[in-house]
Amino acid sequence: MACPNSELALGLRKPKYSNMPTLIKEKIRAVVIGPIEGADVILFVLNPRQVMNISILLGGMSAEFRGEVAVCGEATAMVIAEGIPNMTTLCNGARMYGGYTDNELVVGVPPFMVDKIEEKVSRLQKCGGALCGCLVSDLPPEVVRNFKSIGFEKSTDYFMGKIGAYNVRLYINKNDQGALKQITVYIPIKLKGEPPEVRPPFMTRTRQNWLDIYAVLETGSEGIDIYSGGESMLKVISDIIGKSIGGQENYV
Amino acid sequence: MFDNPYKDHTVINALMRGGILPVEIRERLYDQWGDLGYVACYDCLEGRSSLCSKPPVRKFLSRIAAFFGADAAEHTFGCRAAQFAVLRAVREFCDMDGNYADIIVTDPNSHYSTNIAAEMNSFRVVEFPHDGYPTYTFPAEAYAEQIEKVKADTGKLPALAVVTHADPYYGNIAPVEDIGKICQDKGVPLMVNAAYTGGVAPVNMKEIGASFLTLSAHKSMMSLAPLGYVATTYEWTDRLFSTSRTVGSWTGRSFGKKIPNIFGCSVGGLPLISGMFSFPFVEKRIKNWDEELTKTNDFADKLEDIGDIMLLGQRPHRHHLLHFETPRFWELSKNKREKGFFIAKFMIRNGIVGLHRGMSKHVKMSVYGLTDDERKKVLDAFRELAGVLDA
Repeated sequence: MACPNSELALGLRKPKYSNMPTLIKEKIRAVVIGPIEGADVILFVLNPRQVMNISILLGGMSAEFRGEVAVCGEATAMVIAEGIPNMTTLCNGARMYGGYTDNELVVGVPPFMVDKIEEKVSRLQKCGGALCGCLVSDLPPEVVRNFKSIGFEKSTDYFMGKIGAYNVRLYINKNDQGALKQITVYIPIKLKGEPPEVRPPFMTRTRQNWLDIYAVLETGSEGIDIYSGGESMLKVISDIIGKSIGGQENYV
Repeated sequence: MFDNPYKDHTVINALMRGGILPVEIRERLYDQWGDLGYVACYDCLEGRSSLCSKPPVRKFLSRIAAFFGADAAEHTFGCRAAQFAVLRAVREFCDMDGNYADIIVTDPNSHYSTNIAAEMNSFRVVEFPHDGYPTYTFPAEAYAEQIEKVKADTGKLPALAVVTHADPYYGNIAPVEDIGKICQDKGVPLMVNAAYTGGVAPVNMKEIGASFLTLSAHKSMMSLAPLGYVATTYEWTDRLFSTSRTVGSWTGRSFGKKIPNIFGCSVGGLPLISGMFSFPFVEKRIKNWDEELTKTNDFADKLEDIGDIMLLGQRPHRHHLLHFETPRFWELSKNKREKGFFIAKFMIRNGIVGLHRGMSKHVKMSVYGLTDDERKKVLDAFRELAGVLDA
């Protein structure tokens, strides 16, 4: 390790000439930095706003720091030893050897407290965005942005826009577990004459004097990424519509 | 002091149309009863407004119960208080009987107040999927599947099934009779939230097979707000309407006539009297429900003829709440200074009130109970808005 203090803080070496308290009692031979599975501590490199958010998600947090042995001691060893989260404002070693920038802070969290964070983050997303406070859908913001980038505006729980002559609705189907696995392309037409010729993957069904032309596409299939890359999704859908529905000139 | 700026406007808000007081009662209601808060309490000997005989609240509530096929009914501070009462009673039942999980099954179009009532009583709400755009319907069998799933997951039955008779989003009518049969077969009590139907459409909880019916008088029974009703069967009456057992630790006071689940004693003011005055008109008007639906569907068809407008939900529509997607108006709003607010403002300028301000992609409305001339006025206003009045 580049920083001698961190070797002491993490228990890799015992102090010989100082009174530095040893937080980790076990004999440590190496430190592994990797995926969170099996971790003893999880470190979050955050800006102050994100620290605010994580402290909300953790249900509050106390912080103990003094600008020395920061990431290694205050965010790692202390969290492992005491089993509660801690925030550090970093130390000179972290800035010199670790390359942390001036707007960054580090929060160390025991793994058992991180389990619910992902669920809570998604709940936090659901809490905002509606004037009345009630949301009729929980489509992620990045999905909404992606569809908006191709001219499809979010409606209640679907997107509306135009492709060629058609008013097109894009509805993201949830499976029973709420996962976004399919996208249904709808073209509702109020029939006044002959219906257009429709080929697979499009199907039709009637609702009184309305004809629904629709196709169900798998998200994640080629070109259908609902989270990013809207243009390629638009191209795939436009191509399918062009090849599968005839007589568009009648519905301009 | 401020006046109602919309006093002479035509109301098309779907939450309001069913609650408008009959013209015939207004003068007498305000003249005779409009000067006091607790108007029902002049001659109250019993200590609870629902027991009063002058005015005859007790008899009136018996009529309400009979009208909806129930054995007993109490009036409440709106439908949300009715739902709270049910969930509270079921909570107590659930705590005493070990066969039920802390879970209720609801439809995916439930009113938020259902979910809040569940939350207040520490129930987890389990939903099942609807069929999505553009109909948003669900089959009765979804309840059977969900009840079995809860049973498989917890080893217990859900404490309650809830179905929203007409949902507040699309005005879809749920298959309540089939759901009632399923719940009876499975041994799960059923609450039907009839806030949008009871008082405009025929509703009978015995025919449905429900244990509880919750109603909104100001939404659907020609009453002033806040007023609702909770109705139940003989089997649940004692539990739902059990009276207070608390005794003050020092004073020794007790409140034996009060019903905790409805906050002791419910509405004792003008809304209750308005509900009593209006009820004969409610009894009469539900006979016109099929005719109202015909007019509603005819209106929807004509509005769609403007172009780029489509009714969401069931077709033919079976409720007066109409939810249109309106890309036509959304396109128009883009070039307006008021953006999404321009539709509601245009309508108000034309003497029509009730559209949600700020919305242009969607219009939620009702023409329930409007005269032919009033419906034409509304339709023409939309046509003028779209620039097709003379087309």
